Amino acid sequence: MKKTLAMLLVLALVAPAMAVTFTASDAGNGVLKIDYTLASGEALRGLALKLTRTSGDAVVANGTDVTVAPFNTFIDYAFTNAGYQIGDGHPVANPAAAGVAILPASTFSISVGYLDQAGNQAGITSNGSITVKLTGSADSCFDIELDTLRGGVVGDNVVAPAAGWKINQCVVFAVPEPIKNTAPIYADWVKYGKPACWAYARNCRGDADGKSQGSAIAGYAYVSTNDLNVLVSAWNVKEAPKGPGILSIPNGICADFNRDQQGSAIAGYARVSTNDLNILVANWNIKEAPKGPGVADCMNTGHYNFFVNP
Amino acid sequence: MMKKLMVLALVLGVVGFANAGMSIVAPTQMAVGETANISIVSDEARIGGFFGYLAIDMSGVGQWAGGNDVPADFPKGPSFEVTYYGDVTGIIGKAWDVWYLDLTNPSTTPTRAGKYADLAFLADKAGVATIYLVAEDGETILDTAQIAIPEPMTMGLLALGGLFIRRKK
Repeated sequence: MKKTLAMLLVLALVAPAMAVTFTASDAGNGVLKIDYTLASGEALRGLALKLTRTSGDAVVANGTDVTVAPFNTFIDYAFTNAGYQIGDGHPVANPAAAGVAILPASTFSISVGYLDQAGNQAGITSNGSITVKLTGSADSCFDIELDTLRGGVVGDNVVAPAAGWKINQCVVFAVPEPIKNTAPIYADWVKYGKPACWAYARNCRGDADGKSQGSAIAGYAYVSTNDLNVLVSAWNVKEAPKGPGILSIPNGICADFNRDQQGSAIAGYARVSTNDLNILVANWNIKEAPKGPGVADCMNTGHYNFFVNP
Repeated sequence: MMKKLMVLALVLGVVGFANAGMSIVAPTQMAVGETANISIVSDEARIGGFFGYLAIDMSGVGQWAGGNDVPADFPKGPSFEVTYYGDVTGIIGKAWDVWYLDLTNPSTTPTRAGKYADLAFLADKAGVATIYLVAEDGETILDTAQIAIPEPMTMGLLALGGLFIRRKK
């Protein structure tokens, strides 16, 4: 009995010491996510976190890039803007003084409060998240800590993290790719080593090398003998296990104009065959303007973010 | 009358179009023990040539006799291949005995029309042999030929009947 009582006492002592916990994660697409978890009985009324970029080039560009619901009051915005109404503005604050941050910012505070307009002032008792949509081109990391200038965490029965608490979270910025990752050809593009030639403007029309041939006299054509030579070198080369595969032929995959294989399980499959030749022949030696109508680029397939040059 | 002729011409045109492409040329009847060539013919010049299969339905009769020939004037491409693959039941689930034919040529000049290849076929017992020309995907049947192989006795009777008719004349 004594032991049980002692245990209950210990638990009673420990329970109030459970602080609000914060975790951060990379939510993808340049979004930094901060989750807060409340202990039983804690009611959050105000929160101020300071974010400091430690590497990379990402910034918060707009106040609306930070979402904080159900927090609804932005004290620093109210400080800067007269006639403030609950719900107005954004939570991005100056980390060094009262008021909103100068944007874009690599160091900034997120300053939020919660006012219950129903009159019961219950505070936030459920766990939640803050998201920060960052703008940048390089992977970036941020220190996240309590903004002690603004009081950090405020509420009923709320225990703040220990003094000096800080976490660091990185956000990966995907390098833009010429071929959309939603395109049906994307999986094969990855499978064959993301060949740049597939992103040449007219590759899907039979232009294996991304270059035009000809002269100012007769005009220039994107689909001509150099492209046919690439196609011939890769012609009907079977994929494993029936053959060495298209990657054994230098630039051979560049003649896979229809991004598909032909053949069957009996004799094997080839990436470059008659369907690709048909595409090449359809655009054979069509002159670019002003000598001819030119060959359209592949953008209307919907597979591309942008093209690359050879 | 004119209308009927026009409709007929249209129908013939449609039929002609539907039949365009690759086909099998084979005898309609063979004697047991006889060997004949089964030809693959294109009725049009084709960009890239052709690749696919010539298959015997193994539920019928007859067998490939081993010989094959491609005309000397046929433009053989860099991947040219005429290979006997045999029974492909375990690969595609169809009881076919096949030749693989890579008669392709990567050229902007269409491969000429006419005969592309001959494969030797042996009528080894009486029945009906069914031969398929199959597309590159190993499934799509482009053309079918059936060869009747009568019982030797029936052939003998037919021969006797023929002689009898000649004598009567």
